[in-house]
Amino acid sequence: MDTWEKRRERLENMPAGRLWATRPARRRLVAVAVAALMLLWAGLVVIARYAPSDLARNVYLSMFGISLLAGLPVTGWLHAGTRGVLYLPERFLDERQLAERRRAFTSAHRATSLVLGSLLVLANLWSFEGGRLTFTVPVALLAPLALTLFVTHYTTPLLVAAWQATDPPDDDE
Amino acid sequence: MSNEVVYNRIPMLRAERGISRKDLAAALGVHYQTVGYLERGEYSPSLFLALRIAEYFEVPVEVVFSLRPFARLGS
Repeated sequence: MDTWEKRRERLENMPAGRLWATRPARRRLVAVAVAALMLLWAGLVVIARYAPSDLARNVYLSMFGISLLAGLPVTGWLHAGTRGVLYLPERFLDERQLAERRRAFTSAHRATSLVLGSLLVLANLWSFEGGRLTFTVPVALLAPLALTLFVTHYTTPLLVAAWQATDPPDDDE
Repeated sequence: MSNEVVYNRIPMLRAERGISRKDLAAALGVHYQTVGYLERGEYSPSLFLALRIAEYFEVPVEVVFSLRPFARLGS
């Protein structure tokens, strides 16, 4: 049994898979994950407005910590709830799961394009505030921005897949 | 294309032969929930999977799948 087979086994047997199997339950988890993600984005606003300062650092780190504490378990449960459709390598998925995965990636691509497009518009509006192109970006913003974009890029397909998935059939009727 | 429905007799064939969903899934190499989705008509299989299902039950593919609802037994 290789590493991925063990991971699949573990994922299939996670109690979370049953606990979050129904659509309403899974969608509640997605809402928590979106809130955790929004907290990361809100943290960027705090840095942009108040950095460099102790206040900005402390508030951002608190927001990051809460987001991490909520987001990490929720991501695991969502992977279990979607039966690893976005976690497992393709060789472990059947044709229905692969179609589900492709649908999720397509919708997520659209969603992240919207996020990046909005970021572009906001960045331009911010740049032209006051009619001048000169503005100061705190260097402290760079790493959290990269992290937030990465987390958004990584989690959006999972959130979409979990949101779209229908109620699974009973184990054996 | 979402209203394309493929009807199937998988639950009937499975019950008739006393095969569990998990056994059928293992024989076909698919996730057991995929069999459930097929039975509920929420997923239409590829031609390859449809042929494999028919081959597993040793019946022609049109015995398992149809574009029209199957007639009820005795009707």
